[in-house]
Amino acid sequence: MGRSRLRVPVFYAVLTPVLILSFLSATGIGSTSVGWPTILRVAASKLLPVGWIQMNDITRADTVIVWLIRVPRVLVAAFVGMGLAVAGAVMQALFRNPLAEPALVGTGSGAVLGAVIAFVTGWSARSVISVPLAAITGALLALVVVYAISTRGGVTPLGTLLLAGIATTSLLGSASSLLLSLNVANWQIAQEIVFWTMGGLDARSWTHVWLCAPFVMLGTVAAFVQSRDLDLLQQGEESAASLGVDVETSKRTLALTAAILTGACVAVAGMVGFVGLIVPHAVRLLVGPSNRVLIPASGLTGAAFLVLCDLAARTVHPPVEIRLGVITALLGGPLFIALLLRRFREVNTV
Amino acid sequence: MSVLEARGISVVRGGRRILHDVGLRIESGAVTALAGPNGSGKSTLLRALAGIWTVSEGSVVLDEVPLQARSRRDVASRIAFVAQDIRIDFAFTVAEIVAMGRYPHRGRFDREAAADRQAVDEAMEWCGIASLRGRCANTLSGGERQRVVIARGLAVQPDFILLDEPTANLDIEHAIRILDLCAALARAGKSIVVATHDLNAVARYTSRAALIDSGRIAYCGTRAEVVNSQTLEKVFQVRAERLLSADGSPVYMFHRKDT
Repeated sequence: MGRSRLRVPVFYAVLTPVLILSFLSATGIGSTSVGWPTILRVAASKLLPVGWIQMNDITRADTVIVWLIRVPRVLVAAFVGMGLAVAGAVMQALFRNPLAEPALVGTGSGAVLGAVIAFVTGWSARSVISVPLAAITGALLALVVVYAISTRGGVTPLGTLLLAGIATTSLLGSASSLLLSLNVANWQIAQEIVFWTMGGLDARSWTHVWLCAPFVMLGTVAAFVQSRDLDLLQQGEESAASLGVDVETSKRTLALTAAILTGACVAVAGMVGFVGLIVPHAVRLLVGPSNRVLIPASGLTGAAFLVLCDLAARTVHPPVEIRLGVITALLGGPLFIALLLRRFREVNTV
Repeated sequence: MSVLEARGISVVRGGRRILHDVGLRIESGAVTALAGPNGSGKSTLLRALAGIWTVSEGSVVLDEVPLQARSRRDVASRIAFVAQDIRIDFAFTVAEIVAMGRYPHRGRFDREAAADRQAVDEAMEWCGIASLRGRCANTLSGGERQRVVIARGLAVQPDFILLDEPTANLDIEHAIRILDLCAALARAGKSIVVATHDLNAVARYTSRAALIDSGRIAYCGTRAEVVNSQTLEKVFQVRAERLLSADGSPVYMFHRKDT
């Protein structure tokens, strides 16, 4: 029911402190704990002109931990969470299906295959940006292939696009598995690939922030600009066309937007499942389906969610890091079920 | 007074020619029916008139300007199309959906103006759904949903409203309400075009009609000229028996040709 929705200001009044607290605690908590005042002063000293902040009583080690290890990791987590959540919101609206997820049109497995090729060929050892670049290229190539398969005479039926996406996903997925099988003897490469396909943010640096942040910001803005078209496409393509949407162009732009977002996220964090499915779905239950509200709300919720998941991944069982994808599913699953049950109590339909 | 006209249009979809050299002029202030057997091309003609499907030959002309020469938004603000397959999967409220009818009039980020809200309220009033405004559209019945989508078309404040099989999924009472609504809108000066296979609805509620057969206009004109036993028998390949209802309007019963 419309009335059970949260008002948008209420939603942000809850989300904003959660977001800030998640950033501060994820930066402060770890194998070495750092106090909040130290975090804030280190951050300020880096962002403000030299000499404004007194740093005499802060150790060099603390500065390194905060600024070179924790902050980039938290930022990558935030951008990946945001990118996947926005991509998921776009795909769910585009396919008119609340169970759609970012990797649906082959972009996820394309990105994975790109990265696996980079590992296997040894490019990954040459430069820190080779894996992300290979992943983004893989995502975009997968989208091009899927679109080429499913388009006839300038028209791309959604059903065909979906089927082509599923077929391409399994094809590219098995190509990745094949490469993995062939390289199982080389334990180091195999381990890297397996870890990467499970998603994780260990050893993420500022380079990774700069690699994903521009694409995630660009994709999020693009999705927000198209939010009205998304609302209309949810009403069916003919209705959308009759209300002024250039349907085929709009579908292409939206699929490309989701592919860029997914590719950039997979590029720096591997395959982190569940965020792109559950975050937009949960946020939609809270604030309603209008994409103008949903897209920014999903993005910020995704950021907070993944920062907290990553914090859990590296702190629940030290010194071993649990894979991020495992945590997103373990935390996300029950949360999702709770929302569904709340929904069931209110109306009999979801 | 606006005129929407198909001039010698052909439509090809998936390599198949669905419409052949069709000409049709839509008059304002009338309910015009497009009727014909399944697959005759009536829904295609409706989509071509709405500018949703492009024509491969000829042109659809709105006030002497072809639709192709107009922007998508300009066409959308003049011609509303009410689809048959109404999908409302997400929990938009009725008011939110009807308000989407105002999108062709506004820029991407323009706020809703008083005129927009008034158009939305009036449209909901016309369709008798004002009491449903806060309801989630995916909890509505088929008849309510159909009226919501018609209200969205009305909120556009278009000159033409094109409806594809508006009564196909409705029970008798709801079907009559929709047809009454169409007639009332035509009296208020709108031009209504209805694609339907319900010939008794055509006989009762429309003032003009076109019978379409195998992608061509077989008959076109006033209701009396177009809907009679001879034309129906020819186009539908059935025997049409004309009866008179209590108020004197004709009702048709159909029989197999060999009976």
